[in-house]
Amino acid sequence: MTKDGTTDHQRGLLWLVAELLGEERPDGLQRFLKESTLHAVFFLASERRLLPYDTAPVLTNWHGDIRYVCLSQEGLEDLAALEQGGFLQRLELTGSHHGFFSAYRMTDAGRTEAARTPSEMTAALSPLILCACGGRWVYITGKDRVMRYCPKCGTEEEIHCLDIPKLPYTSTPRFPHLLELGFPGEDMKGLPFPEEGK
Amino acid sequence: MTQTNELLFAGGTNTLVIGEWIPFGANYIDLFNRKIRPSYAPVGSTFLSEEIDPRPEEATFEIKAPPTELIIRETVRGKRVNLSARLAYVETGGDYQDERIGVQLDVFGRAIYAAGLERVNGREDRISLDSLAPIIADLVTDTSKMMNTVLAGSQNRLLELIHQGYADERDKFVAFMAQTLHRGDGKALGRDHNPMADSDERAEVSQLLGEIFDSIRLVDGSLVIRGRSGLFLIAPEWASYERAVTTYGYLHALEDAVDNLFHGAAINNERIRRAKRSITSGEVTEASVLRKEMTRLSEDITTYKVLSEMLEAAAASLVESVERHRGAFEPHERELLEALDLENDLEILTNKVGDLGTTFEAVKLSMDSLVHLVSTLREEETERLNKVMQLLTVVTTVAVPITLISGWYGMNFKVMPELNWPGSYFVLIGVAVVIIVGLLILFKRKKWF
Repeated sequence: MTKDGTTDHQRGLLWLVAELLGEERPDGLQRFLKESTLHAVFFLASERRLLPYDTAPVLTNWHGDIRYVCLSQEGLEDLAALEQGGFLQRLELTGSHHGFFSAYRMTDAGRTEAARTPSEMTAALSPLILCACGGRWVYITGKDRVMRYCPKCGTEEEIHCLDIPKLPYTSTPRFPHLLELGFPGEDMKGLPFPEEGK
Repeated sequence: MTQTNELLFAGGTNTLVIGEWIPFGANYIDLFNRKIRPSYAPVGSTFLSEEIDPRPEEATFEIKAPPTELIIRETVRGKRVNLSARLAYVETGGDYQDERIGVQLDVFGRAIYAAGLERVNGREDRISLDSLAPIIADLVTDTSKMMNTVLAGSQNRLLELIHQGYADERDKFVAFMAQTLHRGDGKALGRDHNPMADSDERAEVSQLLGEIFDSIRLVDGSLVIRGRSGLFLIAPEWASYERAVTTYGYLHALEDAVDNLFHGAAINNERIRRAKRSITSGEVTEASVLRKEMTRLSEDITTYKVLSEMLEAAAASLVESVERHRGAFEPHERELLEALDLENDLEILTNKVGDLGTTFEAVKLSMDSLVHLVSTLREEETERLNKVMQLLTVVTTVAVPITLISGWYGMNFKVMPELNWPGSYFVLIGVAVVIIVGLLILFKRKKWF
């Protein structure tokens, strides 16, 4: 935990957001990073154990489609903490093609804080930003395909956050006790409940 | 899913309850009943969603996935159907997963799917919350697929309309109930432990429920966590809360359906607005261009209206039943329902369902004005057509005397005295011109062109 209350990995996340956003142009246009890109980064970070996150399928609006996507709740909580700390600003946007989606922007305080990220942490997280050839990864979060590529060496990597993991399990049917429903005014007596566990 | 953070585990017995609203009504539930249980099939008989042996004489056969097997537990004609289902869908590596769930459906469209999870990811003693999330995802989509295979085609169309094309991955209410909560080391957490107090544990729970709204500690020490997708309940006697949990779940499934229909109303309004704009901007000048869209819109609006009436009946039945059973709820059930603010949510549901009726009335009015606009367009079209016809009639009428004259002189009579007179040609031309000019003046005076 740092003096300002952010944890080390939150600071690492802040650095990641700063790197993914790049510098804002001097013409006053504000640059925002879409949450879908962060989901892809969180997935890779969790898969490679670069951040203490894990991911789980959540039914979400992915570019206008309702589908399960593996999201990291820890990542989202950290983003919320950074927003609360005044390091990030979040916009919740609506669009006919996206439904609701969030986008993040660095505040001046956030940029200052990100610049202070210890070098060992930036070195650990740099594979999420830089390819082995030194080029910067470009993240593509499409409707059906999430990947990143390096424009310098042409390497492409799939990010499998749209694939839902399947776990083996066995289950038995259950019949929960339900509230008896009937039409208003109808005599509901004589409709037995199914026995539990049948 | 990566498992870097297997912090929390659910122990003891458990149940996973998934709930949704499916538009049934007396006719559909009866149709469903007769489909899966013909008169000769007793309780306990099996219904398969498809035939699996198309060529009985051959030794092998191939199918995409084993059919859904429904075993009839109880049917009350026109009121409810209870089944146990074995879902077998192709999962990882081509193997199929064998899921067994209880299915309870009733005339009001309450659909409850429930399963006790026994062995998850090779473990029988406890289930990590990390493992639960993909199982919930699996069951939510698989129950949709199962219902799609057994529901009537028209009912599937209704579901498509309610969920705007996402019928397979439709949102459902989820409740997971277990007896105990453990840490990764197997140590059971005390009854006063609240995972919401720790951000990592909170994240584990929000994997199951999405955004967390609140957590409630009941008098008997049971913990209820409420999130966007549903409830997580840790209670040694969780079965005694089932009725309250499923009531709350059903209420929210109804509310989701209301929200979806409301969204449907907005989409239809937008389609109507677009059609109107295309007419007023002059982009569309022929009514026939809009015929297909108008037919679809009209069908969708009528269906949405029927759906909103079905929802109204379902909501009224729930409100009435809660009212009627208020005294019959056990004190701990009442405590849970009060903590979940059921009465308030019921009131909100009633208001929203009422608003839905008004909303569809408004959509219908908007549709009526589109119909009016299209009929104006059609009238304009008819008027344009009439003008063209009038012009053609003028041209044809003007041409009639010339045709007559040319017809006369085309006849091969032996005696046509004027043929030998030198001025006959000019007289004939003159007569024709006079007739044409005369007719044109006459038509112009009558404002025919």
